[in-house]
Amino acid sequence: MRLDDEVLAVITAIVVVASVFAIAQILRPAVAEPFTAIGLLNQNCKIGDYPDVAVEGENLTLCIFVDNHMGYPIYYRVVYKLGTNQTLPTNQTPSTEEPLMEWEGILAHGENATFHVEVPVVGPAGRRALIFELWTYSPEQEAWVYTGRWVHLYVEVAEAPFP
Amino acid sequence: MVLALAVALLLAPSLAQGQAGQGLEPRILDLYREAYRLARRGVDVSDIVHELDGALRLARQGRVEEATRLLEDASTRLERLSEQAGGILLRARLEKYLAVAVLASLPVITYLLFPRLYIQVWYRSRRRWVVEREA
Repeated sequence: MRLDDEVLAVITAIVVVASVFAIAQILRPAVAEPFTAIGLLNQNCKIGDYPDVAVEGENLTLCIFVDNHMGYPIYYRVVYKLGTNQTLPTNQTPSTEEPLMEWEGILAHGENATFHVEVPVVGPAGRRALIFELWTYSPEQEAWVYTGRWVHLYVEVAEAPFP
Repeated sequence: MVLALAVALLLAPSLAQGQAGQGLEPRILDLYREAYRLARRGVDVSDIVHELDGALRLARQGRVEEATRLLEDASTRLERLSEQAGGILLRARLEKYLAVAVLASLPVITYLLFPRLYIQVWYRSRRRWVVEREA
């Protein structure tokens, strides 16, 4: 088979497209859309089978998942609050409830952490929200900043029976 | 009043758990800031970040001596990386642009050299052919 001009042109075109694609991959920013994430898992660190009832004063065991895709290491803090559907956080503001517990860690870019937490369920009986907010330390502001990420779990709190 | 006291007593250990590593917190924050600064410049600090995370966990468990040792090691490594950062970044940039230059020249090289290469392969593959005159 002879290599005529048309065949050579097609081969060159394929190489041009492949080269441009490879160069774009090299020159593109390492992180196009930076984000952090927080997830709530059950006591076996799996999705589903969450507790929906708790006795006042009881400790619930759950699992927290934190993910970092910011392009740099993050110093994170997961803050636990107990609230209601009126005091849930938003994407901009944290819950107005007082923090009850917190867990900290440092994650490199592209890494995640999953850890068990044992949280107390206190306060009056009724439908309560277990709120977990993700905060990160901002070296520029030299302060802890709410990321706008949170998870919550509703539980029906029953009054503790007297002994 | 009794209920408030009960709640306070119930929460006291959990709040303390969060504060356990506070003695070392300023040091960890300083080192994290340095690691962050290097990471933003493009230096890989993953190993040091693992050490800082480990130190944080140890401090929270009250194992201050082990945590301090880890922090000392992380500090030494960060200092060394800071000194070498300029060279590391220059090398990474050179490698990146060299790869781009090689990729950009591939179409020209293909256009100029591929026909010659093809002809050579074509002839080599027919080296043992025998040409016979048609009767």
